[in-house]
Amino acid sequence: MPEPLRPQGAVKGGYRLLEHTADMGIEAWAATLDALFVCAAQGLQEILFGRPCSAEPRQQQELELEAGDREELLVAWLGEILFMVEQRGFCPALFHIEKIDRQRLRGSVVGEYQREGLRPLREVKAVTYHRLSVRRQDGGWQARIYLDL
Amino acid sequence: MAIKVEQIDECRWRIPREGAMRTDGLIFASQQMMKVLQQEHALEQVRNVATLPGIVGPSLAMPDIHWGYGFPIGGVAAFDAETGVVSPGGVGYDINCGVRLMRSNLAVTDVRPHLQALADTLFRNVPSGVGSHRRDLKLTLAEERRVLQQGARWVVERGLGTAEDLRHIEAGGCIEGADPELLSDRALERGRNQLGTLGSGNHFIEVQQVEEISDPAAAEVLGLFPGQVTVTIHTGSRGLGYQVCDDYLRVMLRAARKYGIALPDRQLCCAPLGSPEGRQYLAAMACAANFAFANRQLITAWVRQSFEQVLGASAGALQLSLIYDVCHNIAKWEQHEFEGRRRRLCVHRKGATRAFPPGHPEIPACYRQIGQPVLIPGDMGRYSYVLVGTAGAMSETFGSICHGAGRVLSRHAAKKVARGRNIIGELAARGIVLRAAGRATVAEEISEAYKDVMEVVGVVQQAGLGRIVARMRPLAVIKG
Repeated sequence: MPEPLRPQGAVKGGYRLLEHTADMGIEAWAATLDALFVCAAQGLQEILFGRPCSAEPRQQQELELEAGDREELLVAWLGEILFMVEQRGFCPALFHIEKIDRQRLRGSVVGEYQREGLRPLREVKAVTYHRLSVRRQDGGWQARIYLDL
Repeated sequence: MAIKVEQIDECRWRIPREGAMRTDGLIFASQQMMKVLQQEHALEQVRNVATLPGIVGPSLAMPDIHWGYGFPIGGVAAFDAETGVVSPGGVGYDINCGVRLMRSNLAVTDVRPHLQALADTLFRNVPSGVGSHRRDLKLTLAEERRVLQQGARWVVERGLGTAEDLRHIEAGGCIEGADPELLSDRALERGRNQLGTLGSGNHFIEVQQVEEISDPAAAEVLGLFPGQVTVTIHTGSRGLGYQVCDDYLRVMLRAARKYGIALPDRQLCCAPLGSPEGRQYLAAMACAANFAFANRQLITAWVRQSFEQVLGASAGALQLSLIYDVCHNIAKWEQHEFEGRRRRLCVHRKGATRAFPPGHPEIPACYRQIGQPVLIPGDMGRYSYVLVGTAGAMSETFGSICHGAGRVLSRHAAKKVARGRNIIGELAARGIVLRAAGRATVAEEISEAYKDVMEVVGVVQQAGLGRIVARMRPLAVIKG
């Protein structure tokens, strides 16, 4: 496994990038479900823009999503962030989950539009359902998700 | 979890049917390849595919097999029209990702002095990298819908190609049954500004020289000769295809629950071929496949334009013509003999190429005597191959062979191997000019990240699935 735990400031949790022969994955963990989703998004941000990412929190994009269960909700959340990056030319700096349950979330992504020096490192085609998991572990939450590159 | 694998012969391995599997797994690989495979999840994926309803024959994997998501990359599976399913995870996000090969009447000595200029011009004329597009190509929604229905023909009718081009594309450059009404607004939006773009990652344009001819008779039919300059284009359906796959995975997750299909991995979600969900996916997939055919046709026009600009002669005079264009991420309705019976099957090829034998009616008349041309790119530093399909592939793999070299190193591992090295300089020392748009691309795409494609096509030939015709070496590589 490439990297150790990366603590994420105010959010209690972290993530690491998972090896995959052709693609890449993210393993995230946190004390709460909302923090877990934030940590997973930070993993995606690293894959797309590297670390550290110099995006400034200038604009806020609101999100409301629904899915069949927690796992599918995580795919939808990361999928929306990916769409913002690829199609809207956005670069996220911060993630916030206001409300989350088993099938719905309301949250926001704060960042700025891409500019010279703030472009994606690579194309991520999609967020997949392969070996997808979101589960409670040791009194907190853990998630695993793979991306198609 | 270790997967039980039995060796059948030097290049065939069986995963015997057990548990929820409905059939065996059959993998084409050398002993050395199998050692590597047993350390990752690809064999588990071959086993998972074998559990899907209505699978006909074994769950197959070609020698470029590696860990994918859902199906393994290099996976082939055929499904019965009545009892079988269609799975977007068996096609992948990059629907009709594929390869086309062009020939010219140029010798390497004609092009060598102009290689830098040619690479720069191709890099300028063909948008590559994340978020790139041609500012002079703006599609209206009505035009985009016609692209989705007509595929490569839409491009040719705008003067960017010839009727001869269309005859040299799998399915004539258009999959029937495409229905643009089944695409989301988001898919259409992503398509509109990404037509005519190469993309990123392993997509490329490569100017090559024919290095070795193994089958002179077939090479002559294909118009290939030693020292000749050829061009390979590898790209697919871009964001439109990714969105179609994403949208229909959600549909199929619900459908799998509705039809009571047990899934060993959610990415294998699927619906019966005859169900509304199954039919709708195939019609939406056809749109994305047609978009990809149009994409490669547009890029072909800009490749011709680039040669004209640099060499000062018309594409016609340079005889820049299309040899063939193959899909390697697709599900197609095909007729196959199976256990003595002619059957209509939906063949999923996920990182695998159709390879029909001599005489097959779906091969262009000019190639029918030699078999379908199959284009197998390697990595950016070594070589690529042209093969032709054989009767062996038709009887054993539903007319399918590999699609490329297949990765062996993760991107992280590749970057580690590349650290401290000047990859562009190393390629230049071997006479290869590289232009790359993506910051991460060069290190992640180094030769060492891939299997040696010579070994991959060697297994294909040894197994009697295809016949090697020619090997090409890169001269200039444009990476996204």
